[in-house]
Amino acid sequence: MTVTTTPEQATHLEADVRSAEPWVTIVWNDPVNLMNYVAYVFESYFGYSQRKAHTLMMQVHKDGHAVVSTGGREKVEMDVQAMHSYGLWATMKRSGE
Amino acid sequence: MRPFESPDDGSGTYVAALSTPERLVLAQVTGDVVELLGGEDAFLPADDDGDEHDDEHSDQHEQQRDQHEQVPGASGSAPGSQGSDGPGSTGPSAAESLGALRSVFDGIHGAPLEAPSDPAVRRLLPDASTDPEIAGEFRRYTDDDLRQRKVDRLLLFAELLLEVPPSANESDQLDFVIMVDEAEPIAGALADIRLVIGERLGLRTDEDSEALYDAVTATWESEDEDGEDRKPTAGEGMSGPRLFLGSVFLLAGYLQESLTDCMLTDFRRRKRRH
Repeated sequence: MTVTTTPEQATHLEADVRSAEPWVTIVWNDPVNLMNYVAYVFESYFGYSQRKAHTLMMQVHKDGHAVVSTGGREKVEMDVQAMHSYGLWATMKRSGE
Repeated sequence: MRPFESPDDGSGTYVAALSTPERLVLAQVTGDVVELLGGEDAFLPADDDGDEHDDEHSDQHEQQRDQHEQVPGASGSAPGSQGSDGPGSTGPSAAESLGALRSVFDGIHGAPLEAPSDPAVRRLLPDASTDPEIAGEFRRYTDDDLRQRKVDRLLLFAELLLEVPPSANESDQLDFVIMVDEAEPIAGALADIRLVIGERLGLRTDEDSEALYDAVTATWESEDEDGEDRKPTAGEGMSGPRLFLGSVFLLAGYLQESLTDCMLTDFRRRKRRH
């Protein structure tokens, strides 16, 4: 079976892609979470390299926050939920806001 | 306390050691955090629709109170002091209470869910956005799942703490053995316990945490030695509940940090192999 795409549907699709703005996950510094635990979360959950995880962790520690992931709203919601589950303080927002 | 180590003997375990009083204190605090997550007002939908449903709401309050009384630890007794029906029955009954409490609101769809009023609970279940609409929607869809996950792993931690029969000798360091696949949930439980204690102690900055560490360890030094390195001023004002909570905070921190080291080492080793 083949699915034919009418011009109307194609237009619809394009509009959807345009309106699906990328979102970002932000992790905030807190006085409780341990640095090695934050590194573990960034390496194991996001699959980041040791170097990238360390850089992000230091950014959180020194700047107070860091963008740790980007994507569509659903993906970022999932990431924020995972961070909250680990005990990290994370928020989401539209990128560029 | 002896920090977690990986025996590396193919047993698939991480092993620390804790004295009986350390186990009981940790289990009690763990029970307190379970209670915070399970018997809290945030379970109720927000009462923001005027007086229209007053009867309905008071019914819910009553049912919630009934459930709340069944949550173990609500009486303030240490889980370990309950004798033979303590540890084993703690897990299921708390989970059941939580389930029963939830079922009260199962029929309510799209009801707004307010942020927890207790700052410690709010730290465990923080706002996901500065935009109240996004934060509210996120809370509505994730609150149940996050609470349940946190409660489950806290109960696992309490169960493991109370697995070994207490020793009459309080200074006996008994092995605290966890399976490798229990490590992440236990580390998460320790993180939540520390977040709650940190909030209760009013830790706001990294400097606050460092000061707490110095103050608590200074009380150990003044017990242990009278040498020149003694820092009596750092430990001043540390007594009673603050010293107790501070000591538990540090104890949980040592456990979480050493456990995380084990997890990181094994995770990186596995990653290199693939």
